[in-house]
Amino acid sequence: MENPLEQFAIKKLFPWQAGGVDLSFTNSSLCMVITVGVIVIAMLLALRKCAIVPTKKQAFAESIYDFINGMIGETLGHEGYKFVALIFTLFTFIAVGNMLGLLPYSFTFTSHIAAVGTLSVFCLLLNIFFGLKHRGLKYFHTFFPEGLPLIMAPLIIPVETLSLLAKPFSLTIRLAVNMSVGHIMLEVLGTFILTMGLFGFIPLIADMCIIMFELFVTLLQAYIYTTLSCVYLSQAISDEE
Amino acid sequence: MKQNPKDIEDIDARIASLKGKQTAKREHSELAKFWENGVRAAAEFIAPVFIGISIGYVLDKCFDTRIFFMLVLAIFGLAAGMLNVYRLAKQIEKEVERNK
Repeated sequence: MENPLEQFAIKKLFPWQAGGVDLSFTNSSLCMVITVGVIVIAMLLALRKCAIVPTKKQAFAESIYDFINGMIGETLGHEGYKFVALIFTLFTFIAVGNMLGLLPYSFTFTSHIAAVGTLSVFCLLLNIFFGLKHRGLKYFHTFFPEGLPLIMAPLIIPVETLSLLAKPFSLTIRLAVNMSVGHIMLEVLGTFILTMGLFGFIPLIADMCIIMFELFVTLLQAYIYTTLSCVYLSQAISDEE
Repeated sequence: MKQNPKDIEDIDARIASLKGKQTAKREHSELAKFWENGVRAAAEFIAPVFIGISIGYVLDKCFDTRIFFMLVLAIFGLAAGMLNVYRLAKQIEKEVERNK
């Protein structure tokens, strides 16, 4: 039986060391580049000839945009429309990355804590930046809400700091674990198809069902990731304690 | 233009089918929301505990304090987790009231 974790192995395609830091171009990097390429080409093709009455392709691209716009309106309100480009990029990058990972012989970079974690830390840094930009020094009331007695500071500040640091962690773990578990299940069932001989059709049907379910999970996880990024951003820029 | 009564019947059937599809879509989105909230509550509770324990472990290694920081930060993490779940519950409550 094949090792089901082998599919997550990082392989160096173009090894490169710079100042003692490993900057190699890996299979994960390649998949990220392909994901970006697929999104850019799909969007260019869909929006090549824009018309008032949209074609199917244009309607598809516009429906994704509407979906993101609606999500931002719900979570961030009117203030959030300037983040549409950021959230749209996040959603399409994760959703397409997840879906491409379902193709045979491809690589799911969203199952790697390093890749998703970097994205989540980037989101956290953006939250802090926009929080400071919108609220100025009032942003630090996140760690110690106004009106609380000073004696509570040693208790509240560590709790709020841990709560803030946990945000990228929970975003990362949720996405990475969901993607890894699905792929491990597919791989394990896949090996049963061959080993069970005539009865191999049973795991084959199960595998097909899981692929359909995984397709749903890929989109759901991308949706959850982006919604939560919006929620965290709204918490950072809103004046509500 | 001459109107065929069958067209009207067709329109009724199409409207009914569209309404059915919309209901199914709403139920589907409610299921997604339910899933999202459940998974989020679990992650929001566990994440600060894990972060607290991890930072505590590193600090204990640095200051050679056995499990002091790990224990203290785990307790703070637990408190942060509870606070996160409480905030999530408040947010869900707000959303439910807004949708009423």
